[in-house]
Amino acid sequence: MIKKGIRAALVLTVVTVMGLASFTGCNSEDDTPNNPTNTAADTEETATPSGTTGEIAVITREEGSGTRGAFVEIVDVTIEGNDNLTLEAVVAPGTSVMMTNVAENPLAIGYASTGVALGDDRVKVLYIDGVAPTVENMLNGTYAIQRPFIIGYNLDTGLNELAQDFVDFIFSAQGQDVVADRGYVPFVQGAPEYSPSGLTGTIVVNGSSSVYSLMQHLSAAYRELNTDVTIDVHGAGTGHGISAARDGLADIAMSSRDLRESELEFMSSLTIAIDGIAVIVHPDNNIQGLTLEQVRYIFLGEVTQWENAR
Amino acid sequence: MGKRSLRLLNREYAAKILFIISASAAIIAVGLICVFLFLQGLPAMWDMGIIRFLTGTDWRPTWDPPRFGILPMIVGSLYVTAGAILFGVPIGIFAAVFMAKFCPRPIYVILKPAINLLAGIPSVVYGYFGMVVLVPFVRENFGGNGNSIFTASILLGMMILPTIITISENAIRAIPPEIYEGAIALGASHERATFKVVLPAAKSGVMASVILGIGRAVGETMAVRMVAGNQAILRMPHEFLSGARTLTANVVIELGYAYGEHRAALIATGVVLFVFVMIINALFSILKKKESA
Repeated sequence: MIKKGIRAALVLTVVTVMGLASFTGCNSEDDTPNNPTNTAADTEETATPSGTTGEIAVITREEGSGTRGAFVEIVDVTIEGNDNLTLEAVVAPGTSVMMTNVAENPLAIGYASTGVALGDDRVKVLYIDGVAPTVENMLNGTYAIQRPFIIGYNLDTGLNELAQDFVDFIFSAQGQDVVADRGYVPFVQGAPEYSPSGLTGTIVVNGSSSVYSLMQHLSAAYRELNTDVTIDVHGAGTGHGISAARDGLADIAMSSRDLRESELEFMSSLTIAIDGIAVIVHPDNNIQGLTLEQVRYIFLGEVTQWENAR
Repeated sequence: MGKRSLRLLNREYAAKILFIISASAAIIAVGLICVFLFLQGLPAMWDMGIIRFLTGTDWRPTWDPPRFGILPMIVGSLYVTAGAILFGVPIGIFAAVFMAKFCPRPIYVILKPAINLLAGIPSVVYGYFGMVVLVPFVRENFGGNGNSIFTASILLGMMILPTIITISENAIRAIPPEIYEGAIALGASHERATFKVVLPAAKSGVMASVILGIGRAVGETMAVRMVAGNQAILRMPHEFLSGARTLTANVVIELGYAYGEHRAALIATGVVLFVFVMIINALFSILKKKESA
């Protein structure tokens, strides 16, 4: 009995010590968020009044990503038509990894779809050639880095009645309202009203992870009107979506770039929205904007210091 | 022969078949993976030129014409694995010695489940931890942009700890107590007996744990690609604060988008990785054989 008591006491002591240790652990974790502000203050002190200095940390998406393809093409980060984005760039697989990387690194520069970047306070969105990536500026075409969001279907098999109804919804007033609400530019002006069809069944949509979040909101709005329809939206990537639609595994493919000629042989192409690509930096970076040319040189790896980027 | 023994015989026969099916399931799985990988990967490697594929330093899959050289990734995998050994092995072995020979019971009952828990954490969670804690830490204290070989090595070192600790601990515990007691009887202290007699006696088991840890480090994908920077550049060892891409990261990052020749090159990358792992497993079984001999 006494032995047991001693053992219990021992275990209790250990648990308390462990608990204390984890507490101090928490404290040191609490310190970590302070560190970046400290370093930011240090940089401000040491830096010239004009702002952030140091080696630019270029962050890019992976080869084959629709966002990267569109960015490289529009900004012309190429050599003889080939993607020539600096190999020194950190490769962030996926939009969320990109956002976290830029949000965590005071010297980072990256890019992401405006729909994502404008809604994320952790990063700062840059002016390009003095133009902010707003809906207005994309509609009037003054913002330079923009691209279409496209849906497509297999031309051989066509759309079934249900998928056709969903496409009709996307191009209706309600559907284009969802597009505008999400921060994208609606492609169809003065679209007709949509009235629910009463159809039932399942629609499979697959493709670009950039279009994915918009498509989820479109499908949610559609299912409010058609409660008996299930829509499976997958964001496996543009290439995946197109091959899935070709092989009959998806009804509708999503793409965040213009379809290639080889793809147009078997796919239709319907533009549902325009998306800008925002160039993003850490919020502590005091740069406000860059020219398209500067962005190009940074991502080519020819400008490597922040002090040379102005 | 009675009815009863006949039924027993039948039962034994049924059990035998059941076990054969179960055992062959694993073999069939390995066989299928082998056949699939080599059928898809080897012709592509052959077309690209095996030497050029293995020693090429340019990875430009979307170029026209594309360039597929995976030497940067092979070297990247080697660096990251070597770094993981550097961090993980000493800590792992000392932890195992502590747990087997020095740990008071009340601490042990907490430490043991904690290590098991460490083994059970999904690698994407390790990756997220690395991305938001280790990457800024390395950037602020060591320089570079944080996404580096060094960061990946620390993270992998943490991830192989449970493998090394658990297997090494078992190996140390398996040493007959007479060996330890003999050393004590000859006047050695507890520490001396443990480190000079028991640990050397458990050498092959400890080595086996290290090799299994290496296997895990080479094959780790999810966490590494979130912290390593993934640049397909051939790095020199002194550039350990720069990023690199591993073989696994190369496959998983680009496979989602790849088609045609690019896809084939990624599967060929998988073949190279598979050969790596086979070499490691062969080493493991050689060690095992030595142990039993």
